[in-house]
Amino acid sequence: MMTPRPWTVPLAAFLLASVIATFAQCGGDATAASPAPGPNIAATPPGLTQDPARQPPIPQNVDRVRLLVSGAMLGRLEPCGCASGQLGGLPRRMQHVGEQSLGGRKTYDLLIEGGDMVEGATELDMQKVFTALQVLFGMQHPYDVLGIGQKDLELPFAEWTSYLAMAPVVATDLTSTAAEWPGKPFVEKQVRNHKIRVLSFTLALPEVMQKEGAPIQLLAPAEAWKLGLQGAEDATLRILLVHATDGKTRELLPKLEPKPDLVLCFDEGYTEPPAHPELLNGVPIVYPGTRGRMLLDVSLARLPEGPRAGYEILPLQGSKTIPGGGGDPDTKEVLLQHRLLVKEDHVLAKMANQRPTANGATYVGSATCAGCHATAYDIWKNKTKHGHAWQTLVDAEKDPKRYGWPVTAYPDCVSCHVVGYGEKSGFVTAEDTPSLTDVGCERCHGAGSDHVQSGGKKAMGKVGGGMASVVCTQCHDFEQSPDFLYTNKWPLIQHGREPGQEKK
Amino acid sequence: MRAVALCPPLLAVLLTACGGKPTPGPVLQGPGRQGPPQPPAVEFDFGVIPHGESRQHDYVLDTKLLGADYVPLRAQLDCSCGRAQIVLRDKQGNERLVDGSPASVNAPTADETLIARVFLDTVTKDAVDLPRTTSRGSILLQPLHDRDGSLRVQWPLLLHFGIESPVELHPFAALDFERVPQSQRPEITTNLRGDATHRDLQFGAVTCTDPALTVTLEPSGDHFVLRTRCQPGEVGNHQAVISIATNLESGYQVNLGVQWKVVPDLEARPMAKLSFLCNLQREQRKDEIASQFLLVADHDPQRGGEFSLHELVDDQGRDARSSFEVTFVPIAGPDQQHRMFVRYLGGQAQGFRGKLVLRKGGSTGPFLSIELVVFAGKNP
Repeated sequence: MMTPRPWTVPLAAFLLASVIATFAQCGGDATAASPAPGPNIAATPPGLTQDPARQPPIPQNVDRVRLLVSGAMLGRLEPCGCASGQLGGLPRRMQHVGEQSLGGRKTYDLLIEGGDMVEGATELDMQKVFTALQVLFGMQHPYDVLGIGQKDLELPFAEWTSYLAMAPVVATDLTSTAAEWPGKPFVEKQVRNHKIRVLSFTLALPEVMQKEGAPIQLLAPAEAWKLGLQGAEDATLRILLVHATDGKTRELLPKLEPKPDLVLCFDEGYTEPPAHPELLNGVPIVYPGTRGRMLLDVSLARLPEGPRAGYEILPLQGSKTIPGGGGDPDTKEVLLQHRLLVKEDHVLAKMANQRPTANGATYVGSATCAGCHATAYDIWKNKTKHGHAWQTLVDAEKDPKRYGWPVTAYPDCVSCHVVGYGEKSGFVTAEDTPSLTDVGCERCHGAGSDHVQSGGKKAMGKVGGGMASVVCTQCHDFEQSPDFLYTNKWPLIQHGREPGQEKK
Repeated sequence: MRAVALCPPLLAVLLTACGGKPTPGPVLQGPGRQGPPQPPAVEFDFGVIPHGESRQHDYVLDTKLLGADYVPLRAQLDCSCGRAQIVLRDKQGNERLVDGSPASVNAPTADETLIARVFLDTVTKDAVDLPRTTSRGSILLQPLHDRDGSLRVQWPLLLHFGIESPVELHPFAALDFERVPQSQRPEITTNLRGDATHRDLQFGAVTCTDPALTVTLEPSGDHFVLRTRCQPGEVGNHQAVISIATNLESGYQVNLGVQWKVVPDLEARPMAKLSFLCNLQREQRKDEIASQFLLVADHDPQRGGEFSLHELVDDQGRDARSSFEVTFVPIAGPDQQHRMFVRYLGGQAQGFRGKLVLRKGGSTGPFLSIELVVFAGKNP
C-alpha cells in the first residue's frame, strides 16, 4: 500500500488549478520530465498519422493490466553518488517493488526489464550483468521478462548466456544454433482473465554478431512477429519491446499485423520518459528512458475502439520521505558484494591499457607539463578541484556515510578522477601510475608525449569555445554534474598561457 | 502521484487545446539545411526557500527570437523537486495548455505569450539545507513546418535556488532500520533542535503513518530526542513518514522518512539462492570457492543448536549430496551467523538446479531452504 502523504498542504486555488491541469495534461506526476529529443527521429512513414492527442484514461470499470517498466540500465546499477539528487538504481527499484508486494498482494501484474543492462563488454560489464540478473531474477520479487538489446549481444556469448539461464529471456527476432541460447520468441502470462504475450525485437545485430559463424541470427520483423504470435488468441494482449530508435520503431509498426497493444521503445535518445504515451495509428508507444532512473507504472487495457494505455512516472529518488526512496537493504548487500569482488579480482588493472589514445601519443603526467607551464600547473594543483580529484575519491572511500566501499578500485568511479584510464600508457592503479592520478592536464588536452618531444611545436588539444565540451561532459554529465555549464565552470579551473607566451 | 479528477472548466480548456492535426508541410532533408537556432537561456533566482515551502515562477520566452513559428512540446527540469508546464497566455490573461503534439493548435498565436511555469516543492526533500545551486531545465519546441522533429530546439532554463531547513537533525534527516528480524525491536534515536537562526524552535505533536513504529519525543537539554522503535510486522519492505509539528508560524512540520525491511529470523543472505560457475568435469579445489558462499543466520538469540545440512536434491527431487560439499564457518557476533560454502565435487553433466535444506538444532527444525544453481563453465 502506498503510504499517504499527510503533509500535502492545500494550495491556493489558482495554484491548485494549475497543478491539476499539469496532472491532467501529463497523466501522472508532472515532475515527470520530458525527453530530450531523439537524435534520430525519422519522418512519419507514409500512410501513418501521429495521433495528435493523448488518450483519455482507461475507464474505472475496466480491468487493466499493470506493468512495471524502467529504462535500459546501461550499467548503472546504482547512481554513482558524486552529486546529490541522482535518480535510479536497483536498491531503490527493489525497495519500491517490495513495498508494492507486501502481504502477498501484487500491485504489478508484470515486471519487465527491457535489456541493454550494460553499455560495454568488459569484465566489469560481465560482473554487472551477473549482479543485475541476481537482483532482478534471483531475489524475493523476480521479474517476469528480460528483453535483449544490441549492447547485450556484444557480451562474451558463452558466459553471458550461461548467466541468462536464470531469467525468462524473450528475443523474438533472434535465433541461434547454440544449444545454450535461452531466448524464446515470446513470454506469456495469465493475469486474471487476460493473457499477455510479451515479444521483443532487437532489430539489428552488432558488428560482432554479423561475422561469419556468429551464434545469433536476425529474423525479418514480419516473420518474427508471426512466429512470436503463433498460437496466440485474438484476445491476447500483445506487448512489444523494441530496442531501436523512435524512427526505426515507427518504420516497423506498419509491418506488424495484428497490431501490438503496446510498444515499449528503448530509444537511448529519450533519456527520460515523456509525460504520457505517444500514439501511432492507435498504438500506444512508451519510451521508458535510460539508466533506469525512473519507473513507469503502466496501465494497459484493450477497449472496443482499441488499446489504451497510460502511466505514472515514479522517479527513483534517494529521499526516504518518498515511497521507494532509500533502497532495499538486501539489494544493497548484493551490490556491495559485487564491488568487493571487483576489487578482489583486480578488475581496475585488467581494464587499463585497453585502447590507443585519441591522438596517438602517450601520457607523460602533469608534473612533466609543469616544466614549461609552471603557472598553469600551479593554478591547477592548488586552486582547482581537478588538482586533487584523486584525493576526493580516497576521502569518499573512507567516509562510510558516503560510500564505505572501495571506490578507488571501481573503474566507473576511477575513470573520472585520473588521466587516461583505459587507454594505452594511461592510469592503471595509484601504485603503478602515481603521476596520472587527479584530473591532470592530459585528461582534457590529450596525451602529451608528442608535444613534449617536439619542444612544444606540436600543439595540444584545446577545450572550450563557449560550448560545453565533449571532454567535460564525459564526466560532468547531466547526472553527475546536473548544474554543469561550461561557461559557469570554466572560471573555476581557468588557466592559460605562461607569462611571456604570446598567442601565435 | 495519483491521477487527479478533472474539474469541468479545466476539461473544457484541455479539450480545446487538444484535437489539432499535425501541420502538413514539406519534410525537410538534413544536408544543406541551416541548423536550428540556439535561444539564450532564461534565468530566475528563486532565492533560498525555507524547507517545506514551494515557489513558482513563470519564465517568459520570447518566441520572436526563434525567427519562425514554433510549437512548444514539453518542459523538463533536472532538479528532483521541480516540475514545469507550458502555458500559453493571451493579453487578457487567459491561459491554455498544450498537449505535447507538434500540432498547429499548440502554437502560440500572435496574441499569446509562451510561458514555462516552474514549480519547486521542497516538501519532498529531506529536511536538510541545500546550498545555493543552479539547476537546469529546458523547453522543447518544434517548428511548425518540421514534420519529422529533426529541427527541434531546446530552450534552456536556469533555476538558481537553495533550501534552508529550520531544524538540525542528528545523525540523519531520515531513518533507516535496514533489516529487522521478526524477533527484534530495534530503536533509533534522533536529536532535533532549531538551527542557528531558529534556536528557540519548539516541537509539538508527533504522528506516524505506520502503527508498526512507536515514536516518542522528549526535551533533553538544548535539543529534543526522538525515539523511534520498530515492531516488525509482515516480512517485506516498509516505508513510513514521521511528522513533528513545530511552533513556526508557517505551520512547518518536520517530516522524516523511515524505511525498514522485515526479514525472517532464519535466513540466508543476501538471498536464499547460491549460483556459481564451474568446470563440471572435475572437483573444485578448495582455493576456488572463496566467493562461493552465503551468509546463513539465526537472529533469534533464544534458539540454540547448530546449522546442518538436512537434504540436497536436484529439481526432480533426487538426492545429490554426493556432488557437493557443504561447510559452515562461524562468524563472531550476536546473529549466530555462518558462512555456508558449497564446493562442487563432480558427478553432474550439464549444470545443476536444485535446492539444499538446512536444519537448525534438532531433527524437527526449523528449516531453511536455499536454491542451488551451478552453471557449466569452461575454465580448466
